[in-house]
Amino acid sequence: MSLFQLELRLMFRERAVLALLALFVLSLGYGIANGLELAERQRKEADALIIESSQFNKQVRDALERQALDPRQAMGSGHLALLPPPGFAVLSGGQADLLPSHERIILWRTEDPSEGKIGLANPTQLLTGRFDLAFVLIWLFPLFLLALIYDLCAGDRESGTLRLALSRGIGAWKLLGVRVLARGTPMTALALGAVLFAALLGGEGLSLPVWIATGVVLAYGLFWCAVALLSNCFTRTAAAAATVAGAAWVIFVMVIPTLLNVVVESAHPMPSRAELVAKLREASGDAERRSNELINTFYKDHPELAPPGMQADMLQRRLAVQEEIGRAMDPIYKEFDTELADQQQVVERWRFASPAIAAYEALSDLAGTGYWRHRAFRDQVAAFKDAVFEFYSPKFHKRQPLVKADIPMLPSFAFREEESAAVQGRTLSAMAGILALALLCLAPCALRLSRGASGKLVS
Amino acid sequence: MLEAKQLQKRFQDKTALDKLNLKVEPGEIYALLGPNGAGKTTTINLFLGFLTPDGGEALVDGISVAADPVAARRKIAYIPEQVALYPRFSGVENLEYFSRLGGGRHSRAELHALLERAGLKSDAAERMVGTYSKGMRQKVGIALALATGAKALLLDEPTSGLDPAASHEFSRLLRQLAGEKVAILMATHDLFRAREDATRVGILLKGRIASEYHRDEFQSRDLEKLYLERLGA
Repeated sequence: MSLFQLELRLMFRERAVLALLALFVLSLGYGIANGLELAERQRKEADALIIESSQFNKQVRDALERQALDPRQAMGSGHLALLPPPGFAVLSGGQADLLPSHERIILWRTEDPSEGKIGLANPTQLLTGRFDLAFVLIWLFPLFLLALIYDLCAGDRESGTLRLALSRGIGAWKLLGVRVLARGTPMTALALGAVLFAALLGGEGLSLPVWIATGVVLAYGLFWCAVALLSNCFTRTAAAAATVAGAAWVIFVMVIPTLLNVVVESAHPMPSRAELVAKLREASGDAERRSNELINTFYKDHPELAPPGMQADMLQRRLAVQEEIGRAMDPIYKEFDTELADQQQVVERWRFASPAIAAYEALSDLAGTGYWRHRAFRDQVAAFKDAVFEFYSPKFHKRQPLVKADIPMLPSFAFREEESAAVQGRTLSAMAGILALALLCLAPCALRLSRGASGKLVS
Repeated sequence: MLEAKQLQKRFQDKTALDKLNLKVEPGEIYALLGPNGAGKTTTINLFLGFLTPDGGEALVDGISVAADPVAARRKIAYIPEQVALYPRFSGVENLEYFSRLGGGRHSRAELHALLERAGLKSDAAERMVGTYSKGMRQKVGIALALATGAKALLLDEPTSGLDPAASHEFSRLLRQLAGEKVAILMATHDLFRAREDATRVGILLKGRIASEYHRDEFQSRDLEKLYLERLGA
C-alpha cells in the first residue's frame, strides 16, 4: 500500500471525516439543485418571452403581408431585447438575480428604474447572496477542506508521532506533501465532481468553460492547502494551526471581500434610488408641462418629420416628452454605468487580494452570469433602442403606416455573445493568480522545510 | 557506525554539548548516562538531525547528519521514551505506515512476523494501538527497527515506565539486535538495565563524556557507585 493510501486510511479512521464529507455532498447537492432551479426558471421565462414575441412578430408580418399597419400596432407591448439564459447558469447565479435579463423597448413609455439599473451592485456583494454551487465552492469548500487539513503535523508534533515519522528518513516536504494531498483529495474531488455533474445536469456538457471552472476550483483548493501547510509549518499546536487556518478563512472569504465592497462603494458610489426616482419624476413633470413647447421645438429642428399642419397628436407629444426625459436622465444613467464600470475595474484590480473574489468572479464569468456578459447585453440593448427609435420615430411623426416593404427592416434583437477568448483570458488569468497566491504561501514553507531545517518542525 | 566528532550545541547561553566525542561500533550497546540536562537527548537529536550542531559533526555510517539528514536517518531506527503511534491504527498498521515512511514495503505476513519477533502476538498486533500498554508500543518500535534493517538504533529512555517483565523482554530484544551487528546508543537513567545490557557506558556531564567504562569494568564494580562518585554526590 502506498503512503498516499495509508494516509487516506488513517484519515478515514476518524468517523467525523465521513460526516464532514456527507455534509459537504449535501451542501453541493443543495447548491446544484438551487442552480438548476434558477436555470430552469430563467429558461422558462426566456422561452415564454420568445414564444410571445415571435407570435406577435409573426402576427405583425402576416398583417403587413395583407395590408398597411399603424406603427403603434407593430410596436405592440414593445420590442423584446432578451439576454439568452447562459448554458452554465447552474454553476453560479451571479448577477442574474439583480440584473434584468430582458427589456421591452417602447418608445412612448417612461423607463421604470425599478426594472434594472438601480438594483445593480458590485459583484463582491454577491458573495453574500444566493446558495448556489458557486456559494458552496467559494464559502463552504475551504471550510470543509480546512477541517480535514488544518492539522497536517501540528497534532503529531504534540503527540510525538512526528518525531517518529521524520526519524524514518522521509523528508518533511514529502511527508507533508503526501499528507495534504491525501487529506485534501476527497473534498477537492467532490468539489470538482460537483462542477462536472452540474455541467452535465444543466446541459452545458463537458465544454471548455466547464474544464476551466474545474481548474479554478482546483487552484482555489490548492490555495487553501497551501494555507494549511503554512499554518502547520509555523505553529506549535493543533489548536494554533486551527486558529490560523480559521482566521485565514475569515480574512480571505469574509473580511477582504467586505472591505473591498466598502472601498468600492465609497470610491464609486451608485446614484441613490431615491435620488434617481425623484429626478425621474421631476424630469417627467417638467417634460409633461412643456410638451407643447417640446414638440414645437422638435418640429422646428426636424421640419422633415413635421406632420401636416404641424398639429401633433398624443403619441407625437409622448415621443417628444420621452425624448426630453431621456435627455434629462441620460447623465444619471451614464453616471450609473460609469460608476458600475469603475466599481468593476476596482474589483478587477484588487481581486487577487482574496482568492475568494478572484475565484467567484471567474466562476460567474464562466457561468455567463457575471458583469461582463450583462455589460455586453446593456450595451447592445442601448444600441437596439437607438435602432428602434430610428426606425419608428419618423413613421410616428409623419403618421406613416408600416407597409410590406418594411418587413425586412423591422428591428429585432439578437444578443451577440462576447468572444470566448476574452472570457477564457479573464478566467485563466484568475486561475493563474490564485495559483500564484498559493505559491506565495508555499515560499515560507519551503524555507522552513528546506533540507537540514526539517528538524525545526519537531523541536 | 555512530560517531560524534567534537560535537557542540548551545541553547542561547547554555552549553548543552561541549565538543563531545563518541563512537558506537556495530554490535555495541552504548549506555549514555547522566543527570537531567547533561545533554543525552540533545546528543540523540543531533544524530537524528532534529538539531543542527554549532560545531563538530555527527556521523551515521560515515554520513554527516547535518549534510544529509534524510540519508542518515535511513540508516537509523529511533525509539523514544514514549513510542508515539497512531491510536486509530492497529499495531500492524502502524508498523506498515512507519515502515513505509522509510521506504520499506512489507506484506501483511511479513509485518506480523516482525511484530511476533519483537514479542507482539498476532491478535495483539491487530488491536488498535489506543489499547496498548507502553511495553507493547516499545515492541512496535523494535519491530520497526527490525523492519528497516537499521544499522544503528537510538534509544531515549526506552525502559522508563516499563514494568520489570517488559523491561527484561525489551533488553532481550536489544541484545538480539546487537547480536545482529546493530550499533545501539541508549540514553538512560536506568542503571540496572545499563549494567545488564550495555557493552560500554559513558557518563555525560555538562555536555562532555566525563568517564567511560567497558563492560568488564562496570561488571566487576558497582555501576551506581561509580556513577554517583562521578557526579560528586
